[in-house]
Amino acid sequence: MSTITAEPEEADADLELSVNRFSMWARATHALLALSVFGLVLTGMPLRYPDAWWSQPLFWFWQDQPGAAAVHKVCAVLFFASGGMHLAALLVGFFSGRIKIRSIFGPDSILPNPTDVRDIRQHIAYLKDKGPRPDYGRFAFWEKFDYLAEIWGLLVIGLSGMIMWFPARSATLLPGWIVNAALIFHGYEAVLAMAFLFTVHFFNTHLRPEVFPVDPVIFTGDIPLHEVQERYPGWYRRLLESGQPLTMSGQPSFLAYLLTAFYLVIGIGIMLLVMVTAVFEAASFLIDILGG
Amino acid sequence: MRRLGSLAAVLVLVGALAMPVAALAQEVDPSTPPVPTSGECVVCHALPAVVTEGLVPNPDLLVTREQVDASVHGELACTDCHSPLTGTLHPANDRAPTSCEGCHEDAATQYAAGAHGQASEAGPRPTCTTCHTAHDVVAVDAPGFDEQVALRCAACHSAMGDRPFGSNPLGLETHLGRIDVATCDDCHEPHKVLPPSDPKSSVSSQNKLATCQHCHDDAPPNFKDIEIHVASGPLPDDFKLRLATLWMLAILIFTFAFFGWLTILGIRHEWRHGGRGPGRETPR
Repeated sequence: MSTITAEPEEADADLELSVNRFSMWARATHALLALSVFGLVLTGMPLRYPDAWWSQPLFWFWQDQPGAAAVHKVCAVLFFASGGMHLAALLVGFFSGRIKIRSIFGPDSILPNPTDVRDIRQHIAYLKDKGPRPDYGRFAFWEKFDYLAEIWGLLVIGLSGMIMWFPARSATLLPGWIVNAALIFHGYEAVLAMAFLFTVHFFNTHLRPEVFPVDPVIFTGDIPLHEVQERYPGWYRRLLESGQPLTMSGQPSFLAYLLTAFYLVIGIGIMLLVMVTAVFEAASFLIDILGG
Repeated sequence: MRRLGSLAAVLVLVGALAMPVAALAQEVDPSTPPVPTSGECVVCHALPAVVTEGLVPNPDLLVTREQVDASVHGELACTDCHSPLTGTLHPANDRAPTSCEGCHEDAATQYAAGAHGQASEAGPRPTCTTCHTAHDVVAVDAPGFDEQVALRCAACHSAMGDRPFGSNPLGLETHLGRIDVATCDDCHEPHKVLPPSDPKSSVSSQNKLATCQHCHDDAPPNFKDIEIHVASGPLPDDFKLRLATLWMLAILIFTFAFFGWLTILGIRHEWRHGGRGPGRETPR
C-alpha cells in the first residue's frame, strides 16, 4: 500500500497530489506528431480538394502546388520522426527492462486485450443508464483505439506516401498498380485520419463533459490523483498498491489551456471546411452511382 | 469642322461598302491579287452581327484584332492563314485548317501520318484548330496550355473524365497549373497520336517504358503498368483499385458510425444527468 494518505483537499491550495501519465519523451513525441499532422493537413487537403474555395488562400500561402508539396514532404519526415521517437522509446524500454513483457498484456497496457470487449459493452450499458461505469485501467478503450489508429495511420499513410514520393523505386519492388492504389489509400486515409482526430479524438480527450473544455495533461504530463480515481478507477487502485511515486504538481498553466484550446479551434475549423467539401463530393458520387 | 467629319465618315462607309465590289473587280484580273489588310476584316468580324445576322451562323466567325494580338500569331495578318475575300462571302471551304503547314511543316507531316490525320473524313476528324483553337493559339510553354490541351483531348475522348486523366498525380498537378509535368501530348506524341495497338506508337507495349523514361529515367519495367487514365468518377474501373476504394470507404463508414453512435449516447447520457460526470458531486 502506498503511504500517502493525504486528501487532495488538505494539500496546498495550488498543489495537487498527481501522478505522471505522460513522460517528457511521450509529450515531445505527441507534440511533434500533432504539429506535423497539422502541417500535413494544411498542405495535403488543398491538394486533395484543389477546387474548393478554402484551397485558394492555402495555395497562395504555400506558393502553389510545388510549395505545398514540398512542405508536405517536410512534414511527412517530421511525422515519421515522431514514429521513430516512439519506436526508440519502446526499444530503450524493452532493453532497459523498464517495460516488462508481462505488463503489455496487463490491465494498464495501452494495447487492447479481451477485457476491452467487455468494457465497450459495459460502457454502452452505462451510457444507457443500465449499469455502472466500466472499471477502466490506465487507458480506456477509446484511448487504446487512438493509439492503434495512429500506428495504422502511420503505416498506411506513410507507406502509400513513400510509394508516391519514389514511384520508380517502388515499381522495382512492387507491381505498377500499387502506385495507383497508393493514391487511393493515401487520400481516403487522410480524410479518415483528419476527421477522426479532429472529431472523435478531440471530443474524447477534451470535449467530453468530464474534462470539458480542455484536458491539458498531454502538455503538462501530470494528472491529479482524484481525476485518476474518477476516470481510471482500476489504474487508481493498482497505483496505490504498487507504491509508484506520486508528485505534488501545480495547476496546469493558463498557457497549457490556451495552447490546447488553440489546437482544438484550429483543428475543428479546418475539419469543418474540409468535411463540407468531402460531403459534397460524396453526395455527387452517390448521385453518379445511383443515376448512372 | 463638323461637316468635314461627316464627310469623312461617309467616305469610310462608302469605302467599306465598295471594298467587296473592288475585290470582285480585281478577281477578274488575276495579275493583281487582292491583299486586304487585317484591319479591314475586323470591320465586319468584330461585330457580333456577323454571327447573328450572317448567312452562316457560326460563333467562330466573331474575331477581334485584340484576340489575335493576344495569341502567338499577333504578328500575322488574317490573310496569312485565310484566303482573301473573293466576293461578299469567303469560299465555303477555306484553306485555314491546312494553311498552318506553311510554317509548321514538321507538325503537319506528323499530323498527316498520325491517327487524327488518317481518320476518315466521315467521322469526327480533329484538325490543327480543334486542339490549338483558331484565333487564341497560345505558346506551348504558356501557363495553362497543358490543361487546355488536355481538356480538348477529353472533349472527344470522354472516357478520360471531366478532369483529364482523373485521379492521377499528373492530372492533378496539370490542373494546378504545373507545366513541367506530363499531359496527354507528352506521352502520345503531339500531332502524331498513334493508338497503343500500333507498334510504332509511343504508347505501344514495346515503346511505353521508353516513353515513361523520358522523364523518369530510372523507371523499371513495372513502371509502365501504372494506370494513367484512372477515372475521376466515384469508382475506378480497374477491379483491384475499385476494391481498394470500397475497402477504405468501408473503414471510414464503420469508424464514424461506431464512434458517432457512442458520442450521441454520451451526449444523451450527459443531458439526463445534468452535466455531472460520474463520482463528481460538484462540477469543477
